[in-house]
Amino acid sequence: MSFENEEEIWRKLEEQFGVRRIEGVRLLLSGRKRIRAVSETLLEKTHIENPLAMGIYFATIMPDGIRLSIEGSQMVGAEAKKNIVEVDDSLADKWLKGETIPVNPSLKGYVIVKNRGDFLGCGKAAGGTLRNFVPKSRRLKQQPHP
Amino acid sequence: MIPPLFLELGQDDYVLDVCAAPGSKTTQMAQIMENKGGIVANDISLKRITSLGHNLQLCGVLNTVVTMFDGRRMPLLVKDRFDKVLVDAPCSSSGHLLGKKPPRFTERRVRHLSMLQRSLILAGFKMLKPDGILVYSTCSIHPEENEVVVDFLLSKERDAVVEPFNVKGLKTRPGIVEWDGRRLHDSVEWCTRIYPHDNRTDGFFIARIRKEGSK
Repeated sequence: MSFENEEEIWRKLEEQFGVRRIEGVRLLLSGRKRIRAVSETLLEKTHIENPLAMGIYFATIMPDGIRLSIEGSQMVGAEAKKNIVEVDDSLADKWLKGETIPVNPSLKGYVIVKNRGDFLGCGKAAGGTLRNFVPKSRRLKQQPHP
Repeated sequence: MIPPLFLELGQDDYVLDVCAAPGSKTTQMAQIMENKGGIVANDISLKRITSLGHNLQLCGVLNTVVTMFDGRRMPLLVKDRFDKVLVDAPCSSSGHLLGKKPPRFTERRVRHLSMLQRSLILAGFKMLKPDGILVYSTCSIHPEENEVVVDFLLSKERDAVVEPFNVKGLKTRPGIVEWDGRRLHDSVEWCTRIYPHDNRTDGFFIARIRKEGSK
């Protein structure tokens, strides 16, 4: 894990979502593409070399932008100024079940999904639809037919 | 959960959770610390660490490092380093009296666990800074897994001191000072027993131990 390119990641986040650096949070690269978020105080305290994991999975660097995890979208969402899609309850339900949902055709690229003040993750908008990235293990289960 | 409350966590603490998985106490500690300070969440089992990692992710815990060591051997890597240490030791779960299934244990298993718990409490204590706090807890009501383990630590480490601690609104009982015809250290009485019929909870044992500062 390394802090190489941290400035570059923050710059891309600002470009994509209009967020400034989040106070007390550091971003580090785990592997080539995955970004983890760690509290600054942890880095001051810890002395453990090569831990299994640090902080949480925050985002993945994709060729066409940064794709946030659900927790990443919750951290960024509150401060984000652009690329946020507000959805109603019915679309939020579909989204949480892992379905692709319709969006404004003018939207393009990675956007944060918001419903009633809650941030539900990040999707990729293209051609009037929003591709879903909610992991299978975290999707709402379909109600079985009676 | 009650054991993290006994640690009296602050936002500047560096905390070790020796047997952290599946992470309910670790996430509670992170919440109390408001994602500040630092926590080392350790466990010996990779399978259990997977669920620990999952729970840390779900709760958005930023101040935690996950490690996989045998807690008994950790003092070979780090000593006198942590402000607070939680040893929520593996136990017979004999306090789970309100569950659907009654707890199952044998005398042999309790003896085996008691040996493991002694090694863990001793290791946890060695990693504590002078004036730091160690909390030892189990969900067992067997004295062999509780007071006898604390008595073992007190006999090995002269700078270990048991401290009384109360949680408001929780009915507790003192530790047992005599067991199996043997008188234990007097201060073992300051340990806390929580019985199922007192609070409608599972049975629990908690000891808060301070490492006296170097003289």
